[in-house]
Amino acid sequence: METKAFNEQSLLLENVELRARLEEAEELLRAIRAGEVDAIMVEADAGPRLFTLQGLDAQQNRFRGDLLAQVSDAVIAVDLEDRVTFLNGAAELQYRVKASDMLGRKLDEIVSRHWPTPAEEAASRAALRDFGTWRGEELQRTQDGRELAVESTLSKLHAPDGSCIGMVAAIRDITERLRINHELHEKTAFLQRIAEITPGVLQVFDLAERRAVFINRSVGTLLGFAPDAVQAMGSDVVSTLMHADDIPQFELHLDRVRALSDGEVAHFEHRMRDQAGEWRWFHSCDAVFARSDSGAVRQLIGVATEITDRKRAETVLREREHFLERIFDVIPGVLKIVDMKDSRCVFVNQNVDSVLGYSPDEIVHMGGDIVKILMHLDDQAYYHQHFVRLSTFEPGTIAKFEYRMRHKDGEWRWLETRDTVFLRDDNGVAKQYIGLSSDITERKKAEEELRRLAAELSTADQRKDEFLAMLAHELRNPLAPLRNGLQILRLSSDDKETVEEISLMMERQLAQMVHLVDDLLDVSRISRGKLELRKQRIELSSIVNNAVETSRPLIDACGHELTIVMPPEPIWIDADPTRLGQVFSNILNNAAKYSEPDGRIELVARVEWRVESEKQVASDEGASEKTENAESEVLKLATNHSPLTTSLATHDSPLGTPFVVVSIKDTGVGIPSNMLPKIFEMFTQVDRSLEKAQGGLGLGLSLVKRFVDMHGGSVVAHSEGHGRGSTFVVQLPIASSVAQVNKLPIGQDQTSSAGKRRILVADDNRDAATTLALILKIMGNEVRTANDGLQAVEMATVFQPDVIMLDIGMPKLNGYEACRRIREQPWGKKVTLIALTCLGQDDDRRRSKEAGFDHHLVKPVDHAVLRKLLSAEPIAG
Amino acid sequence: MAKDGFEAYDAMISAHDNGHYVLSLYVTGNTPRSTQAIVNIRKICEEHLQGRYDLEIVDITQNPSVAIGEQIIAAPTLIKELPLPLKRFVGDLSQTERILIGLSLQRKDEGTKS
Repeated sequence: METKAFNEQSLLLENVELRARLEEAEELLRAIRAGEVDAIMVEADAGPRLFTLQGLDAQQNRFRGDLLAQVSDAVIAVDLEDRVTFLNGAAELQYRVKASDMLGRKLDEIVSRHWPTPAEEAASRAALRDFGTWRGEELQRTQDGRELAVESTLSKLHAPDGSCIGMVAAIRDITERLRINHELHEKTAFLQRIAEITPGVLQVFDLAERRAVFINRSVGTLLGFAPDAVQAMGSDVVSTLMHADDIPQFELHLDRVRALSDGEVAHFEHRMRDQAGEWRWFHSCDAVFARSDSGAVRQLIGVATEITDRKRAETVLREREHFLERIFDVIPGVLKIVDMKDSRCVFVNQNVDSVLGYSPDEIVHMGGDIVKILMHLDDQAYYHQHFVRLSTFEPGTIAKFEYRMRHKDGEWRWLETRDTVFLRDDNGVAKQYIGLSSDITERKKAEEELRRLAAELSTADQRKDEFLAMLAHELRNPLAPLRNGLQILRLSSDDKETVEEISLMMERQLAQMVHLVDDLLDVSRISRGKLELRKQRIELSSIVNNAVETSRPLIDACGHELTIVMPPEPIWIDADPTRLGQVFSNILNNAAKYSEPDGRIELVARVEWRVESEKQVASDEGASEKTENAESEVLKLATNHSPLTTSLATHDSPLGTPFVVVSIKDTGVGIPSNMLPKIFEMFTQVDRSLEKAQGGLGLGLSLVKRFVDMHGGSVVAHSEGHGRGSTFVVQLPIASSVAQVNKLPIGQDQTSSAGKRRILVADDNRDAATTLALILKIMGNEVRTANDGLQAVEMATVFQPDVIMLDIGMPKLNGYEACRRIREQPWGKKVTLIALTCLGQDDDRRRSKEAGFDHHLVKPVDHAVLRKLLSAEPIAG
Repeated sequence: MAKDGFEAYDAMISAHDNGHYVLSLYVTGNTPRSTQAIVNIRKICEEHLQGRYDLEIVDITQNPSVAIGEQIIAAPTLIKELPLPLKRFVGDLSQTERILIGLSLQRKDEGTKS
């Protein structure tokens, strides 16, 4: 029974179990049929497999599910009771929950919402109610205690029949974004502060729109415009503020900015107008700020700093530099700056070119060698002294220095420099000096010339003193014999022979004095250019003979032997016989004087031909060297005695110009070679100790040279030296043709019969008048004397003389006036009037002739001349 | 069933004693019916078994072998393990009344009270 009961119970249980299984199976089938199942599990050999059921609805749902599962925003759906009906993967992550744990739970178990104000919560509810959706930001606190800032979008969910079944929320965590925003905000504020405190104008400039997108407040301080005002200028900002002249440069600058890499900076200097209209200079540093997608520069960021002051300073500096350069250009002289370490020229102005022939560059390139290369060796030692003085002098002191530098052409240039230290180091040690050097070569030359002249003048002065002493001596010499002669004449007037002898001696002494004075007057006239030649065509031999005649007494007195050799043919020259006669007589006198007694003197004349082109060589200052040259060039055609052909007189000869050479050779003391060049100078005497009895003033040879020169000829002296004699060679041109023949009356008959004449002598010097009258009386004339012009005229009226001799310089009425008055008288026309004067110049002769004189005699009157003159005058009838 | 023997025993004892429910829902990921099933069972539990149930949700796509062991044929499937007898429900559990009856939480005649 127990078993049966057990079995019954067991069967009953089994039945219940089976029913349950059946119910389960029915439940399964129902669920599948109702579409409530997603997947079926099937056992297979390889293990369990899950088959997902895919109905149309399921597929759509799945698609949505996948979509929602993949969005990054958290998506949570709730039903009307706020229970969670959906939770996507993003929501699981965001709230750190599992969907399976949260589904079906109240939403606030996952997250609690915090509204900043109740009003906002109300607003969100109202929006949901009215529009079915709300979007906004809110704060949420998660179950694990985190706070999230979220941006939520809430939408009502509707069933297909339109009834509301819940709400879906898409929730984006914007905590990070807010944090970034905040940081960004802080960073921006930081940059903003930087921008505001930057002293320069900081701006962001849009290249395409050409406007300032941003500009800081400094633009207000610098230009006076508010940042807003600048931004309001829009694309006109450049043309409004920037100087028109700078805009082309600005465009180039923008091109440079366009080519910049990030981080590179481009610079630009330009002018901007401030609110007051003043231009201010700015320096801009610009860099790339933003690029377009293609990488092209869209905006630049830049800081512009004002540099007006710097620009102004630059302008002042430039002007000063310009000013200095101009000074360097116009300054007369070489301006230089020299480094004192090695004497190197660090700067020199252009003038160095004209002074030394080197360009400034060449000078600078010489470096420290310039002193060695250019400075005169003698000056280098002084230069170093100058250098030391410069470096030790008080600052500001100017040191002067004169030195020579070699010009590029090799010539030495004298420079005078004024130097002063220009630069010192921190210890005050001189580093550079600046100096101005002037070319004083001309001045130095002039100084040299002046010194030479002074020396010469001093010599000349000394010679003049010597000359005056000698002159006094020479003038005094004849006075002693004259005085003695007078004494003798008075004592022995009866002894005719003695009188004759003494008279000759006195005449000789007098002649010597007259000669001296004549020489002096000639020299004076030549010096003043007053001497005139009275040239005439004349034969040389007559002049030579005359000269010999003049010198004969001296030659004979010294016992010299004189030989004269003349060509057989006559030689015609155009000459002043008197002056040329003086030439030869002076040379002969010299020969006589400077020879020991019984010497030999030889005068030789010959004709030579000279080629025209070489004509000028022969006449010179008497330098022996040149004389030799001249002689060597002479064609010696005619020897001493060779007869001259008749063609001599013509100049057609192909042989050149004929001229005569007269050489006078002596056996005298000779001339030292050092004196040869000087013997023709005035007041020169070779050796006064050798002066012979006849003396002399040293004027003779000087006159010789001048007279020969005036005749177009030349004279030179040769001597083998002391004691070996001298030769004087005179060359004179021969007259071109024989036209006129003049012969000097030589050896005139001085004893021509002088008839008895009535003669009036007027001279305020009573002795002169009386002696002349006495001579005339001795000559056999009837003579009266007057002592002034008036008396002369009165006496002449009474006396009615044949000849009247009037001194020119008389009191009351001078000679000229007396002459005129006499000529006015009826009887005065025929009277022979003779002027007596110390003035022998041509001009004086002309004046006396104009006054009406017939003759002009220079005192002292030569008795021979007087006798000749009187004998020629007719005796008044 | 990660709990050790003692706990399971205690749970069973207490369930037996106090009417404690142990439920397991087998789902396939986030599929709609599975999601719906979770929402529905949790809602039922919260309303009728507050404080006296354990709900375990098992994703059989993650643990297929568990599904085999529990003889799961379709998903979602809810198994009432306690109180005994063990009972299975297949589907999205949206027919609340049937589920409540099946869980012995409502008599058949109680009708549509909730």
